[in-house]
Amino acid sequence: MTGLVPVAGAVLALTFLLGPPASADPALPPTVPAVPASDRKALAMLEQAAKAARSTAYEGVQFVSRWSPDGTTSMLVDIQHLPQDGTLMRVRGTSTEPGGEVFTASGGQSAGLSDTSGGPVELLARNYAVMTVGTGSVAGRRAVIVESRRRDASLAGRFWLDRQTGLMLRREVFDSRGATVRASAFIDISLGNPSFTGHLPPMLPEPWRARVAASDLTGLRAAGWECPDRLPAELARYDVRRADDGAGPVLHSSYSDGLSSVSLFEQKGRLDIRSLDGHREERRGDTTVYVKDGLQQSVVWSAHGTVYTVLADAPQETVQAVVAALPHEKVESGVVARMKRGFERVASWMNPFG
Amino acid sequence: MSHLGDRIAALVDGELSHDVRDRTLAHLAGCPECRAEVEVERQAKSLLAGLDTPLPSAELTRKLLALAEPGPPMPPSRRPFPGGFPGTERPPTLTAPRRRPANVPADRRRPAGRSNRRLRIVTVGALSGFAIVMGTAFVAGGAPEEPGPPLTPPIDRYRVEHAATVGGMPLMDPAYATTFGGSSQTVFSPAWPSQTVSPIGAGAGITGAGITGFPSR
Repeated sequence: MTGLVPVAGAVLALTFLLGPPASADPALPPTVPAVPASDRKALAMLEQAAKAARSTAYEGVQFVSRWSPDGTTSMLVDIQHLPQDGTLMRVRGTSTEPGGEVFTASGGQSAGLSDTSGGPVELLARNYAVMTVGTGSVAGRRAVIVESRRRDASLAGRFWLDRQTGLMLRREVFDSRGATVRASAFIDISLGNPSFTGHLPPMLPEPWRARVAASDLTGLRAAGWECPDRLPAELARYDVRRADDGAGPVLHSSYSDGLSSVSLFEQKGRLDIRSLDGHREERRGDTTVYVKDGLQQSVVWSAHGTVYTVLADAPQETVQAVVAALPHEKVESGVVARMKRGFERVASWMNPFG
Repeated sequence: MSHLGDRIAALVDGELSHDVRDRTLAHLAGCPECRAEVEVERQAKSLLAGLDTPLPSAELTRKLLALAEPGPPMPPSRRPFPGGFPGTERPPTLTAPRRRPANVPADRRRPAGRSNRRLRIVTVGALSGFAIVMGTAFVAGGAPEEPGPPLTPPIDRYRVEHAATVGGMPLMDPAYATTFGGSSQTVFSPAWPSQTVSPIGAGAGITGAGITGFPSR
């Protein structure tokens, strides 16, 4: 019986020394469940897929679709990729969206992940558990299926990776309820050197050159710029740039969780609603935002002297959470508040000194 | 019992025409009753001529003065002096009460009606004015104004910038390429974006007062 006391003491001491299990993301509070460990093979395959996108010559046709409560948008894209030269993408027009084309040169300055360590696969693994789940077939080619799951084990994304080259052939994104919200896949693909026939379209421009270093952000925030480090749900900022378009400086912050990407643009001023093209007004609680749907959703509003623009390739629920997390200005509604504003305005018009 | 009736007063006042006066005088020569009545009338006239002109009562004076105050135009059917304006008419005589309805007290009817009407008009006017003021306030109090100049975010350019940063990320779908629809070709003009902005780096433009080029709120 007396031998149990030192054993118990040793167990307690070990418990205190080892502490709780290390979280995959030390920045999160300890009450959030850790991301389950990822499958090493799956991570390696995703790294291979990232390399193959640059180094494999191919041409094919992809469909891209987005599902939201407001409807479905789909597009067909002809893609040609030459490792030394670049990627040519031709979007086939539909009845509602015009076609277009863009050329991305190889070796161009990529956004990179200046604020985060590692690459995009590392970013994915930080937010999701990645594992291989089986095999499948896309456009006649055999593929390995890799899944990414959230902390609560719900499915977030699925990738079909070509068994021969590792190239990503198909990609699906799911919302928290398990519904497919985004999908893209090759419906036709052939490997080998395509030839760029005809005149190349305009090149995808380099992003704005003026990158903002993390050390500058304190000063920016003191000057009233938001530029949050993170956005819901797991979006981490990986790039900040600024430019000046004549109406004043613009700050562009880029966010990703490895699956979705969101851009936040901030500019000082107040929104001129009448000139917004194709956006519908949406009332969310006490505030009003302006939304345009499509494969990419844009949400615009202004609050406290800043115009916010969110561009998102993300599920609807992610976009709504992002917009809600940013500053808004309450609009007092109701007849009494409106008439009070009206009296103040009329008084200011009549005041010769105002 | 009078053979001559009104002609007695007219004879005394000298208002009969020659022919009628001759016939009347001829009748008086043979009729002692009418001669007596003419004598009474002559005595009453001389008695009245000896009296002072009666002044109008204070009540009548007040009403006459009230007529001179500005007020809403009276409808034609309710003019108090159908025969003309005050001052151009003979002073009120014993025959005046005949012009008013016999069964209604003279001094209460028209002034009460006029003040009721005025009150109604004032009330309607006030209510209308109030409604106009409240309506103007409601219309003017639309969306609350925010500080700063009005601006339109160049969303097409933002889409290109978003594509330029996302394009560098593998494992994303090519949706960003769909930004480049036919209308987006114009964003590739050399004037955009201002690539001459100097990069903000460590020690460049960061002071305690804020970052160069970024306006403080």
